[in-house]
Amino acid sequence: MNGIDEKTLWNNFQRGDYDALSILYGRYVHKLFSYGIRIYGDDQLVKDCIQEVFIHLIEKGKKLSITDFNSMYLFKCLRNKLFEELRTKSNRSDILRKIGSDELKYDENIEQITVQSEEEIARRRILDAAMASLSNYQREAIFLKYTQNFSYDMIADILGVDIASARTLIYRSLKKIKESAINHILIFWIFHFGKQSKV
Amino acid sequence: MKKEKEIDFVNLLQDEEFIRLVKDTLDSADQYYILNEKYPADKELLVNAVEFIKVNMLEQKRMPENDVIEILQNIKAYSEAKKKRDFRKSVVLVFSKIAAVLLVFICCSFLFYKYLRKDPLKDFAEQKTKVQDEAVLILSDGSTHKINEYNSNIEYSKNGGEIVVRNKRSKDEKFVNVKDSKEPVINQIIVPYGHRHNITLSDGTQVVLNSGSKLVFPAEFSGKTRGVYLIGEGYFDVSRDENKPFIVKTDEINIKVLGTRFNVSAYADENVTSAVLVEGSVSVYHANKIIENTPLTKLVPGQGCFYTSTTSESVVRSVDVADYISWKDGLFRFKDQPLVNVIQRVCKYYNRNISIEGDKLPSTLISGKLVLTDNITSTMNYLSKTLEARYEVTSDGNYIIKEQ
Repeated sequence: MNGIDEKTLWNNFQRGDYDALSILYGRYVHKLFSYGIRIYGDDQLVKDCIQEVFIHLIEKGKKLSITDFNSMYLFKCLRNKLFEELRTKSNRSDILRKIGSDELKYDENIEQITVQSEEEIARRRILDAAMASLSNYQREAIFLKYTQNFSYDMIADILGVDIASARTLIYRSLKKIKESAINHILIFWIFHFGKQSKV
Repeated sequence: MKKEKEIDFVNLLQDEEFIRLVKDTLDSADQYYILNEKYPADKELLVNAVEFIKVNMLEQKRMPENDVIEILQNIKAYSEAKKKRDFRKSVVLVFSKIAAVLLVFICCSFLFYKYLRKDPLKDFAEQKTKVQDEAVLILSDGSTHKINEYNSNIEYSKNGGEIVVRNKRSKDEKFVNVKDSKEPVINQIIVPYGHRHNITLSDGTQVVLNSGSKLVFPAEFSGKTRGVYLIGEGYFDVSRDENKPFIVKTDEINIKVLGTRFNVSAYADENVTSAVLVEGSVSVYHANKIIENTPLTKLVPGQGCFYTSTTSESVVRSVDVADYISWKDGLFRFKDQPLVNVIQRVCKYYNRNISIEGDKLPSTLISGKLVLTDNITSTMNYLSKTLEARYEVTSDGNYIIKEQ
């Protein structure tokens, strides 16, 4: 059953086979989780929302108008669910915590890979700092494009904008990363030389 | 790439080919050389682009395994609950579908019973609808008996078995109703234009049937009510029976009485059906109403109920009763009626077309009595004399009244 393509699984689910939906869940749970914490840093809320998305699908069942399954639909559902939750909660401290946690997330990456050279550490730091300079919306777009490999039309669909806007969004984000990286390189070298001079 | 633009960070990362190549060569030690071959750019730039892709790939996180399982279990539990609910819903749905079908069936049967099942009297009446030239009496066995005279008395015995037709100028005739089953014995009298007949029903009720009328009635009134069906005009003198109301049914209204005298006019070719009460009291009902308990109106002597079928509206007003019932004594009585109205009545009685020519003639007011004979010629002679006018007969039998 694991080899079955997603469209078949979806159709089976719509015919009342809930095991098919469990398989889809298994395939997408980590991707959805990654996306969720990219939009909003609270693990628990993201988990709850993922569960809500699947329960919503079961509840709607046959009434869902999607006959042609696309994984993008799940991302869209999760995004809507998260924003809905955030709107209803509208908890300022949560939002502040989320903003604060973002930079940590990039820093953590360093520990996850084996870094060979000091030069590489420096490069990673600069890149992380450049990424951190993006707005949440821009980072979400970058995530969809470079982490989830969605095409522009899918990104547009998830974000609820037209394709041209999705393209512009990615373009501007990349440009911003490039510009802020240049700034960070300067800062890095000042910092680097400063450290060296102390030694 | 579109133009031979300078390779930079932004356009490299917008190039799907580049991204694929980076991902394909992630584990290769020669990654930089492979990339550089296709994308001759500054090493720093290429390395930064690769780094960007790597960092983003690392954004793919994993949800802790026990959370994955917990959510999965919740989803499965919810699916089971939903399945059960759907099953219950479908059972309820099936039952409600059955119930709906039954309900519709019952309603249809009821309506069928109420509307489509015709009154046996009405049913009988429609079997022979043609008003012929001679008056006929149709008995239960379907036998048709011509009544020779234009104004005779037809008398039913108490049990309805025997009928005597009393003629004025010839011998009386006797007929016998054959009673072969438990079905009520239904008889019918058809009165042609220019005729008028008196019937004494088995309960003693006397009916005078006007020209061009038809009365359907059971020879013996065996049910809880005494129902007769009338097309045309009849004057009823109903013998009193508190336990068995007498009902005159017409296409539009039903008139229910205990014992009284009244006139009913229900010609099929007229829009207005009327009931005019002479004595006692009558209730007028809508024919074909599901709930027949509420009368349209109750009349007191001297009142008439006029029901217009085209608008389904009824009007009750006081009338000069004599205007409506004088026909039963063989005359029309008019008081200040324009000639057109008089001619209309005469036309109806003889079933002939009479037209009036001239400007003043149609509105000439007529008062007095017009004796109805079986002969239109004598009536026309009498009329033209009174009017100081003359009349002509056209080749197709129509009459025209003209000024002299």
